[in-house]
This record gives sequence, structure tokens and C-alpha cells, in this order.
Amino acid sequence: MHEPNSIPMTKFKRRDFIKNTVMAGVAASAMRVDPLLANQPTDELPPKLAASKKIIVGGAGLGGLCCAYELMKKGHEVVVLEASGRHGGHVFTVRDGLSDGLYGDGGMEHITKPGYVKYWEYIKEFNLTALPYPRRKNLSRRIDGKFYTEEMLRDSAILKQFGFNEREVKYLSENPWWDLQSLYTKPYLNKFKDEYQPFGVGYDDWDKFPIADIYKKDGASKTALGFLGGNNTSALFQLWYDGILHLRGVPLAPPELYRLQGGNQTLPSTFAKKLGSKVWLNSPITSIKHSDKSVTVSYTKQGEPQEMEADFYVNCIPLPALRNIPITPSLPPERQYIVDNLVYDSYQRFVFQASSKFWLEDGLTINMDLDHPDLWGVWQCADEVETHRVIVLGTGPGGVSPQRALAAFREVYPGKKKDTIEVALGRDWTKENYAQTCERLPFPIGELHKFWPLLMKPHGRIHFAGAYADNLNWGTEACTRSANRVADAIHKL
Amino acid sequence: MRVSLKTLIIILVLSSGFSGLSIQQKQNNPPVVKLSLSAKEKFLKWSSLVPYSISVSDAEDGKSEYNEIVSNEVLLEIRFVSDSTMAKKFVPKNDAVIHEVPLRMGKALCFSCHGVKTKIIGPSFEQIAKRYKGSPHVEDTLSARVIRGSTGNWSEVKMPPHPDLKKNDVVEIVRWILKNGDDPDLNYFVGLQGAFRTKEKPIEPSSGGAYILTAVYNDRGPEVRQGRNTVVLGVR
Repeated sequence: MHEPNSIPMTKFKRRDFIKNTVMAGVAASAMRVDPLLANQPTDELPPKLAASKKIIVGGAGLGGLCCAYELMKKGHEVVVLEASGRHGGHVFTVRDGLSDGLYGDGGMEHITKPGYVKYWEYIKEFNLTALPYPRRKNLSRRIDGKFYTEEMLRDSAILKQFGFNEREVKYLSENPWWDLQSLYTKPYLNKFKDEYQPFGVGYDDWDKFPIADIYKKDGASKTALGFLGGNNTSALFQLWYDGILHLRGVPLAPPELYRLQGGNQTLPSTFAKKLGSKVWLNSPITSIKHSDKSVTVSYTKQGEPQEMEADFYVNCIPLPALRNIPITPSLPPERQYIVDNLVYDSYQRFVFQASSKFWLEDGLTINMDLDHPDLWGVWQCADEVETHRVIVLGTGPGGVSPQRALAAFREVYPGKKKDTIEVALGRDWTKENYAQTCERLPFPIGELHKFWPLLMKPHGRIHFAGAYADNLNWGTEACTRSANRVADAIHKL
Repeated sequence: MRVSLKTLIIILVLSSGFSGLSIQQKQNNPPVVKLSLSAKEKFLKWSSLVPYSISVSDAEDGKSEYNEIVSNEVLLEIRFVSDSTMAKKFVPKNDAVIHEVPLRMGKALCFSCHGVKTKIIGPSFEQIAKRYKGSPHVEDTLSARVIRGSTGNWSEVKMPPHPDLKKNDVVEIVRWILKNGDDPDLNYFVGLQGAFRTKEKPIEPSSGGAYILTAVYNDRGPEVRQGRNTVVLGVR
């Protein structure tokens, strides 16, 4: 731990970073600058450039990189401080240990269309290739130990056998299995007009009881209640969630999915490349001081304590990590409550490499929901790589070894012929030091007003972006949206 | 008592044999554990965040600074006493191995998903203790959930099964959670660094209270030896 007296002070004076910006020829700002001005004293620069701000971004995950990139484009000086030794955070493409150039996305999985508007804009801007990702096509589901195809799950006789009531049987025979929830939530969704405003639409009191109560009130069968769950999620929260997707024209579990060719890490890597030396790895933040005039961030670099002053700090690190960083003066209690109580999901990604599409020999799909405690589901990735080998990805809980997950697969795999899996790897996010968290979980029943909208509002010179800092908890979508929101807000100040 | 020559020879042979054994046996040095706080003041402030780091150095296991120590096997106990004169009572004194159960929990990765006072992925141990303490058959019910896995009791998030843990060990863990989870004066963290928040300033004037912070690491044996470092700090 550091001795505060020995901290070297790296004050980024406005004049210095304006000079740097001009010399580095940062695209957007440099375009506006008369080249002759570069030789003049910086104090005499036109007001537009003098408005350039210095911003420290905490965390080089997708949100932090995206926000820093947007700020840089607008002519501001940014530094991204990343605690770990790599950028990309929870977007991570596994390559080590795989052959023939194969890969598997160990974190972020997919994007949808419609939806992910900002992400699609970056695909266009950086000329990246999005590939169709049919991981939910012809999905085979294991229910009570037996596999069901999509066709079977539209069969009235099977649905009746499960114990669904008549209305549910009719709905599921005409709609996909995953859309059962819409039967009960859709009638309520038209009241949401602004996707950032869950309050005042007539459901405020519904935060006090679970959505399962709505399902029951509206006649859901015991079977439907079993599949829908919802005993621990507030009715208001769930309706708002469904309402956001409804407003965006996105289904609850979109079947049309895409991923980036070469792995989803391509996007954070592209941001990082554009940012160049502005991304500092292995530089964990140790404390944050803020006032109405500036923000001072302490961090370590190569283990040595350092300090940096800026106009703004954008927090793109997950709140459970921010919990361990002293902030002076302390955040107000209502804000601290959010930092202390926001909860995330975490899991493990399994990467299996097989020497053939072994499932085809049995006429099966590899898109399977396995309902096994050690391995929840599997699907194929990297199918564009030219090789006879294939990558099968899976998701399961932390703490399970890849070999145990493989044994789980073999225990329930319905094919008669043996699989050809030759490698089993895992990315266990629950054991990660810094990027443990995946997506934000629903707020506790009765507490939406404690989190929203304060969660995404700035506090003085501290702004909040990242997977946690938007209305919908779909991580990638929330990262790119909140990053742009904060970059715009700081630019306009 | 007279000792026959034969007996004496046997004793000599045996004792030399034992000493030979003990020389051949790998010697296990105790680990050295050091707890550091970033605050340099002698007193902690009420309602403030206290970052800490723990270093471990063990002749056989390695050093934490070189990532040779498994971080989830390092434990910090944070104990508050409202009467600071009582602090001494809680400073561990002898070489006996303490905190075996929470150290085992660290190894079993329990703290990856459960904080003692904080909800992480699963409920906090405080929440679990508050809900289940005193319930009938609670040790059986909860240990079965740990071993077989569980979902739906707190959220839809699935707790994975832990078939490798022995029933008796899990029952001990459950007992520990129920006993310590909701103790407002106790908190535990695993890992080589982190931060904890001190209590709100009490309304009643008091002598100020104190925090007894004990960092613990058990080495990998063969005979387990424990390294410990306790720091006592007043709070005002």
C-alpha cells in the first residue's frame, strides 16, 4: 500500500493536453483547427478547442473503451485506467489451446437485429463483419430429462400433457416456446411510452409484489408458473423490462442473432487500437477525490502509486469493484446504497473443440438447452473457420471444471454415436479478479425507486457508464448506449 | 528402573531411526502473513472505506507478490468491539490453527458468490442466517442445497452442485454461516486485497470502539501451519 507523501503528481494541465491533442492530430478536433494555430501559444486557441476537456475513464471494458473513443472523437483528452493486464473486460475471445485458428467467445455472446443500434453503427464505422449466429435456431430443449424439438413444443397434445391450460396451449401452438411470458405481459406494455421512464404509467405500486402474482391473477396454470418463475422479480420491473424491448421492437429472446467474425473481442480491440497509448493496463484505481472544480484519481502503475487530475471521471468499472475504492468526499447515502447493493450475474463459459460435427450423424442439432446443473446449454461458434474441426460453446456455473462439464454433456447428450470432443476449456468469470460480473440482475422487489433513475445520473464530476448504467441489462447494448450518453453529456457541459 | 542392554539398543535404534526420519521428512516452515492498510492514521474513521492488502510469504508455497499464493485461501476477519478495552481479548494468542471453517469455505470458492454481509451472485450469509437460523432441520436442508445445488429460493440464479464436498464438512460450514452470518460485529473477506466499510458513528457517546483485523493463511503442509497477522485499530 502506498505512502501518500511519496505520490508523484501528474497534473494534466489543460494547456498540455490541448497541445498533445493538436500534435497527435486527433481526427475530429484537428479537423477544426487551423494548422497554423498549432504554432501559436495554446492560450490563444479558439474557444471551441479551449473547451476540450480532460477525462479519466475507469475500466477498459467495452463501456470504458467506447466512451473514451467517443470523447476522443469529440476532441477531448482521455486516459483509460484498466486494473487488469488486458482490455476488453467481459468481452473475451478464447484462442489459446484451440487448433486450426478456431476460437470461441468466452464472454459476450451475441447481438440482435433489431436492437443494438449503436453496436451496428460501430460495425459499419469500423468495417467489421457480423455473421449470422444461429445458436437459437431449431433449439432442442431438455425438460424433465427428455429432449423436445421446437416442433414438439408447438404440439397441442404435448403441451396439454405438460399441464398448460387451454389458453396457454393455443398461444404456444401459434408462438415460440420462449414467448410464453408475452401472453401475460404484453397486454400491459402499451402504457410504457418512454423506455427510460418506468414510473407514472400506472404501475408504480406493482413494484411491491412479484410478477408471478400477475401471472396468477391472469389465470396462469401451475405448469406455466413453473416455467415462467418470477417469484423474485417485481411486477413493475418485469413489465418495464418487457416494455423496453417492446418499444425497441425486439422479441424477448430474439432468434435472429449475430456475432463478429473472428470473435466479439474485435470491437473492444478496435476501440483500443484507435485509442492507442491512451489505454493504460495494469493501472488499478486506488482512490477518487472530487470537487466542484476537478477530479483526482489515484492509481498504481507497475505497483507504484500515482495521481492524476482531470475535469471528469467516468466510472465504467462494475459497481462491486467501485465498492473497494474510497471516494472523497463520500457519495451521498442514496448513491452509496446503489454502489453497495447492485447485483450482477456471473457464470462460466465452456469451450469444447471437436473433430467433427458429430451430432449430424444422429440427425441432431447442437443447439441444446441441457438443463443440467453443471452445463446449462451448448451451441456452435466459429463455423466460418476453414477446418473439419468445430467449436461447441457452453454455459454453466463457476467452480465446475471443464472436464466435469464435458462429463455432464456426455451424460445427457441424446445421440447414439459418440461425440468427437477432443479439447475442453473453460473461462470461469466467477474467479476473475476484475471482470467477474456479467449482467446486472433485477433490483430487489420494492426497490426500483432506490436504483432508478439515479443509477445513471452523474454525481458532480463523476459520470456512470457501462453494462450496469442503462435501463435494459443486456450488457453490450447497455455499454454502448451509456457510453454514448455520457460522452455526449460531458461534451455538452 | 533397570533397563536391559537389549532394550537400550532397541531404544537407541528406534530413536536414531526416528531422528533419521525427521531429517528426511520435508521441513515445513510457517507462512508469514502481513496485513497492510492504506490509511496511515492510528485511528479509523466512522463510516469510511478502509482498503487493505495482505501479503503472504511461505518458504514452501511461495509469495503472494509473485502470484504463488491462491488468493481465495487468504482470509481476513474483521471484528468490531464497542469497548476498545475489550480488543485485546480477541487478539489470537497461541499457535493453534483458527478459522478453519471459513478458510475451507475460501478454498471451496463459497465467497466467489456469497459475501458475508454483501449479496454478490447469491444471497449474503447474513441474509441466510437471518432467514434460516432456528428453522427445523436447517442443517440438513441447507447442506443438501449446497451439495445438490439449488435455485428459486432467493432468485432464479442457479447455485451449482458441490458433489465433491463431504456432508460433515458442509454441515460445519452451514453451522458457521448460521452462527456468524448475522453477527453485526463480524465480517470476513477472502483475497489478497479489498476494502471494508467501518460502522456508522453510534448515536450514544462511547469510548469509540476498535477493530481487530486478523489476516490468516494456512500453508499446504504436510502438517498445516498457520500464518497470522492481527492489527488493532481504534475508531473515532
